[in-house]
Amino acid sequence: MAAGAGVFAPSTAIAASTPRPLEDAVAVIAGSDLGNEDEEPLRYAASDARRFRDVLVELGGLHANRALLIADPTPDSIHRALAQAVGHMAEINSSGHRTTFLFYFSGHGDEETLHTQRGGLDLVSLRSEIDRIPASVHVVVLDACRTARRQKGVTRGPSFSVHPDTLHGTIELRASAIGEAAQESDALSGAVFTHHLISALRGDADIDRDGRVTIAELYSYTYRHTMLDTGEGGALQHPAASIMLSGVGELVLTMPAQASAQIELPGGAERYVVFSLPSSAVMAEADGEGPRKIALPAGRFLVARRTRHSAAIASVDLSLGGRAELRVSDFQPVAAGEFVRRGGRIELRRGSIGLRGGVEFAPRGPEGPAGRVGIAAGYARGRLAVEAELAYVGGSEATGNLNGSSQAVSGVLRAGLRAFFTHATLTAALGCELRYSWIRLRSDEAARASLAGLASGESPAYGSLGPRVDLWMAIPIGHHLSAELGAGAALLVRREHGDLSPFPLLALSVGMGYGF
Amino acid sequence: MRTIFAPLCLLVLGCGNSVAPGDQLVYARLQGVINAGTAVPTDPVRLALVWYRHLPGPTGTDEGGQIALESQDFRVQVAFPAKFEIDLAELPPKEALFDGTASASIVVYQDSNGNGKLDFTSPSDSDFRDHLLGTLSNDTASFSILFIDSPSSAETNGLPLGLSIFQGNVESDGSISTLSIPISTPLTIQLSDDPAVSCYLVNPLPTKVPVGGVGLGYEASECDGNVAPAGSLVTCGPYTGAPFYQAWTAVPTSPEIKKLCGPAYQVCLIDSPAPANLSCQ
Repeated sequence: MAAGAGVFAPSTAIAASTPRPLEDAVAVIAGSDLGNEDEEPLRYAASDARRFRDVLVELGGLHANRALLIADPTPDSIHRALAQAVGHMAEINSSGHRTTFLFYFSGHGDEETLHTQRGGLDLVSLRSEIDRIPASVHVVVLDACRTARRQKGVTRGPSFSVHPDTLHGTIELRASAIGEAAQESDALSGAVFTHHLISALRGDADIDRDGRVTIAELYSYTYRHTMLDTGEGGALQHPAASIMLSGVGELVLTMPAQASAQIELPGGAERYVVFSLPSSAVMAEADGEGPRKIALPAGRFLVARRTRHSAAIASVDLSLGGRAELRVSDFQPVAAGEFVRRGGRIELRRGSIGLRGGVEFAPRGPEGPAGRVGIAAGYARGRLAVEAELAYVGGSEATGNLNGSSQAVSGVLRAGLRAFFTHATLTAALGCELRYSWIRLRSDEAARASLAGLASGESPAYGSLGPRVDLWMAIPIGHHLSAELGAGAALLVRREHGDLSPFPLLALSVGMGYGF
Repeated sequence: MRTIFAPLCLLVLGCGNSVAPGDQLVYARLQGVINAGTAVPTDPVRLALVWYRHLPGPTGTDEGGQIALESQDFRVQVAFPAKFEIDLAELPPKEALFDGTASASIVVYQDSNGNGKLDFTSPSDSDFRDHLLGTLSNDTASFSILFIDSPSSAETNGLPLGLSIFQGNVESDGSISTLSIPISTPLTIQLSDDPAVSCYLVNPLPTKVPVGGVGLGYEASECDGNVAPAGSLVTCGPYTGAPFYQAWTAVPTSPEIKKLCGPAYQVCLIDSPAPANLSCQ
C-alpha cells in the first residue's frame, strides 16, 4: 500500500542552477465565466485561468507580479493589463535576454471576438495590441469557441529590435477549429483544452524526457488529447495553432524537472489522473507508454489509475516537496463506477480511529468544567460518516453545602454529513449519548459531621442519555494523520429527585485521527 | 430496534438520581405542627431555628458566657394548623458550641420589620424588632434541639452524639425530669398572643429573677479577676459542697422592654473561695 512509497528526493538543487524559461516573461491571463447575454455562463473559465497562471509561475518561473490575472475581465480591464504589460516588458528588455509575452483567455468567443460580461474584444485589434508589446516571442492561447464566421487575418504591429539569432515570432493556440465549440467537462472540473494544456505543462507532454516542455510538445500533446477526449463525447474539438517563429533555439514554457514536487507514474497504457487533496481539484492527467513524470506543487495528492474497465487509486503525500515514484502495486483497486461518480473525492481510507481530549461545560447542572478524553472509531464513505466514541469525563461538582468530584463514562453513536474544503473536512453529526456517572461529594463540614456521627457526604450514581450534535473539522497533517477541532452539545435526560430532568452540555475538543 | 431501545432507556434512566442544582446534604429533618393557640396571625409568619451562642469569656477562650442567639431562617407559614419541616443542612455555628454541645429552639415569629430574617432586640430598644409568636416550650414541657460532637460530653451527660431533642418535663411535684428523644420526633409549637413571649428575643436575655438561681437558658462566664464588677448585685446560692456566687450587672433596658420582660442582666460567676469582702444579697 505504498501510497506515498517510492523514492523521495528534493529537487531544489536543479532549480537553483538552471535558468527558468519564463523568468523574462510577462503574462496577461483572463478567465470570464460570463459572455454575451444569450450565452450560458461557463463554470470553469475563471478557475482555468487561475490554474494556467499557477502552473506558469510554479514550473515556468514566471514572476508572480508579472502574471497579471484578471478575474471577470472586461475589454477595458484587458486593455489596461496589456498596457501594464508593456511597462513590465520594457523593464525586462533592458536585460538583453530573450523575452516572452503570453496572453491567455478562457471564456466565450467566436471567430472574431472574445466575449466578456461587458462586451466583445475584437481579436484583430487585440492581436495588433499584443504585437505592439516589445517581446521576442508572443504566445497567445485562446480557450474559447470559434463559431463559423469569416476568418480575418492578423495585422502586424511595428517591428522592434531583437538579436538576429534570438528566437522571435508569434504563436497562437486556439482551443478549437473554426465552427467548433470549446467544451467544458464536469469530470475534469475545467475546459478540456485547458485541462490538457496544464497536464502538458506539468510534464506529461515531455516526450523526450528532457525535463522541459516546449511549445511544440505542448501543442502536439494538447491537440491529441483534446481531440481524443472530445471524440468520446461525439462533439469533436480540434485545437488549432498558428506558429510563426524564426531564429535559433526552442521555446520552452515549463521545466517540470524543477518542480518542488514530482510524481513518477508507472509505464503502460493506463490513464492517470492526479487530484489535489483535500480539494479534489484535477491537477493533471497522464497517459501513454513509458514512465511519466508529473510536476506538482507541494501537497497531498490522490492518483487514479484507469483502464476501460477498472480503476485503482493511490495517495501521495508530498507536503514537503520531493519526488514520489509510484509502482503499480501502490494502487488500491476501487469500483470503476464509484470512481466515475466521485472522482477525486473517492475514499482511500474509510476507516479511522482517533484520540480526543477536551473540556465539557454543564450550564444548568452543579457540575463544574470537566475534562473529557476518549477514543473514537469511524467509517466514512462519500459525504456520510458514522462514528462510535467512548470517553471518560472527570471534573468537579458543587452544590449547596456539598462539593467533590464527578466522573462518568460516556458512549456516543453518531452519524454525520461531511463537507470538503481546500485544507479541511468539516463534519456535522447527530447522535445519541449514553453515560453512567458517579459522584463523590463531601459536606463543607464533613469533619464536624463525622465527629458527631452524622452523614458527611453523598455518593450518588445515575444513568443519563439523550441526543448530541457535534461539529468537527479534520485537518490532514501527513499521510494517515489528521488533527481535529470539535465542538458539541448534548441534551441528556437524567433523574433528579425522581423526576426526569434535562441536562444540557457543551463541549470543546481537540484530537488526532489515524486513517486506515 | 424499539424492543431494544425502550428497555435500554428505562434501564438507564431508572438507574439512580443525580444531584440537582441547589441540593445539599441534610443532616436531619425536624418536623412538627404549628397550632394557632391564642394567636391567629393573618399575616405570614416565619420559622427560625435559634442557636444559643456562647460569647468568649474574660480570658478570651470559649469558657461559656453571655447567652446570645443566632438564627437560621426557614419557611413561611400562612395557615394553621400547619405542618412544618426543617432540613438541617448546616451544623450549629462554632460560637454555639460549649464543651462540644450546642442547643437550639424553633421559634415562630412575625417578621415585623420585613427584612426576611429574625432580628433580636436590644434591651435598650423601645419595641421588639420582630415579634415572637411561639417556641417549643409550653407550661409543662420544654424542648430544645441538641447537637453534641464531643464523645466525652455525650458520655458525661448521658446524651447521644449528633442531633437529638432534649425534653424537660415539669412534674406534678414541681421537679423537672429530662430525657433525650430522636430528632425525627414530631414537635408541636403553640402560638400565643402574649407579648411577653417576645422577651425570648431580647439579647441579652432578661430575667425577672436575679435572685434565687439560674434563669432560663443562659450560662455565665467567670467574673474577671474573680471580682464582682462595680455596681453588680452578688447572689449566693445554695450549691452542694460549695458556695455559689453570681454577680448580676444590670444592662440598660428601656421602660417598655423592662415592663414586659423585666430587667436585663449580665451575669458572671465568682469562684470559691470568694473575696473576703464579698457580701451576698
